[in-house]
Amino acid sequence: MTPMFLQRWQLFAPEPQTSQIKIWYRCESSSGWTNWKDPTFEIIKKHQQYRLGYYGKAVYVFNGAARELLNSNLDNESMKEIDLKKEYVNTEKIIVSLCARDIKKPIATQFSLVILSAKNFSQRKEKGYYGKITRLNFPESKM
Amino acid sequence: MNSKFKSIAQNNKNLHTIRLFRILLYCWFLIYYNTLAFNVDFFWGKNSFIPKSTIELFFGNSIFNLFNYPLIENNPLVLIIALDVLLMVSFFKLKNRILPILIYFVTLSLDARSYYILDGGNNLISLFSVFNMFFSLDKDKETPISLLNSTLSNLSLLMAKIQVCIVYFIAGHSKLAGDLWSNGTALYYTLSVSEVSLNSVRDIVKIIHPIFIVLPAYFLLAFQLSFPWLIWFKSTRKFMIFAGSVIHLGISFIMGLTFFGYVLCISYCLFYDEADVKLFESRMKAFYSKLKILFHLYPQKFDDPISTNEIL
Repeated sequence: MTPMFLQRWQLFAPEPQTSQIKIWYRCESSSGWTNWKDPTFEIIKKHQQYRLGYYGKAVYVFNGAARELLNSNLDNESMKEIDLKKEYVNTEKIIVSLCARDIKKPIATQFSLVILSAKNFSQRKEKGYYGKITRLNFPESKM
Repeated sequence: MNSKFKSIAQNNKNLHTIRLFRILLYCWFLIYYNTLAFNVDFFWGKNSFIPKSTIELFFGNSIFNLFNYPLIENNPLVLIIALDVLLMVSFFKLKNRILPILIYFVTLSLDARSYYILDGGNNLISLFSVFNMFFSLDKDKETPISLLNSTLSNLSLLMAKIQVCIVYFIAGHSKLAGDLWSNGTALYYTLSVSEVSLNSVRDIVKIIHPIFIVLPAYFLLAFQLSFPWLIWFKSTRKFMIFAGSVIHLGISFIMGLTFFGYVLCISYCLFYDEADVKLFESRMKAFYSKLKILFHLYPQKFDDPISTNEIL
């Protein structure tokens, strides 16, 4: 049956989504590093305004890359040879494209995977939306 | 058991149900792919952020992978336009047996190229497309081929229904095993994540009484667990379809999983009785003829008793 009719039993949210994975990136130009940016920030804003558009699926594209990288066994050993991982190379390509769009001539790029978890139910009335925030920085990449 | 087998192998008695399902399925394809086509290069273009290697998970370098052809690879909009043409022709030729096969392979190629963006709804619709290839809208003739057609069609319809039930059963059963669904706080966590919520809803779930979070979660759980049983009884079917439609339209607009919600709403029409669909069709026809008169789409004769009655 695989690969065309593969059925994964996790398809319909057996566990609710309690966190979101984001890719944050920054770019270096001759005038220095830009601030960290979230490429999905504007897309999610538009998705909340226009439910019938393609924005929701556009968020999946960045999430897909982030999730694939996160699930690719990022232990200390593999982080030493991170450039060899195809998941890392793919995410880096995305970031290079984003930097080329944001600034004219990027000389270096860097990105992080950020996991934003919802606050515990018992702490829901406290200020802010997120509880635990986990951040995994990847090395700077010269162009 | 024997009579059940006979009923599957008997005449095609679900023509109206299948026709309605096929129309809704094609409407979903039309809306989904054309909505995404507004940013065609982002999802299917040569420089899309979705890596090409993922396509190998589906069917590698086979001839069925339409993105292997340079024309499609460089101009994915061509494939969307081709799909639109196939769907538009299909609306007028619903009985055609080749069109569902072509539509299946075009959508399979498009989905394979945009692998990252697929969700449960896409997977389910892909399975429905397989069943759709075996659905027959031909009227019965006393020939072995006609009997085989009807049997395959009835069997496909039954399998599509069972597929929906399996989805609900597995979803409900897995939820029951999870801590957050058991203690009723699952909806709070999901609706707190900006990707699958609205800012106003995120604020509301922080302040409302827990009962308004826990009760809907348990209702959802009860609905998913009972669906595979209660949908088969005529007395409970209408309630299940109504409750499911409310839940999935809520998922579409509050959680923003728009296309996923529509897929499940479409799947309910598989369970409609043939008589109900006939009634719905006759009401739609009556409504359409009223519209025609209202907007004078066709010249009416003054001595036509039906049309004058309608006007008055």
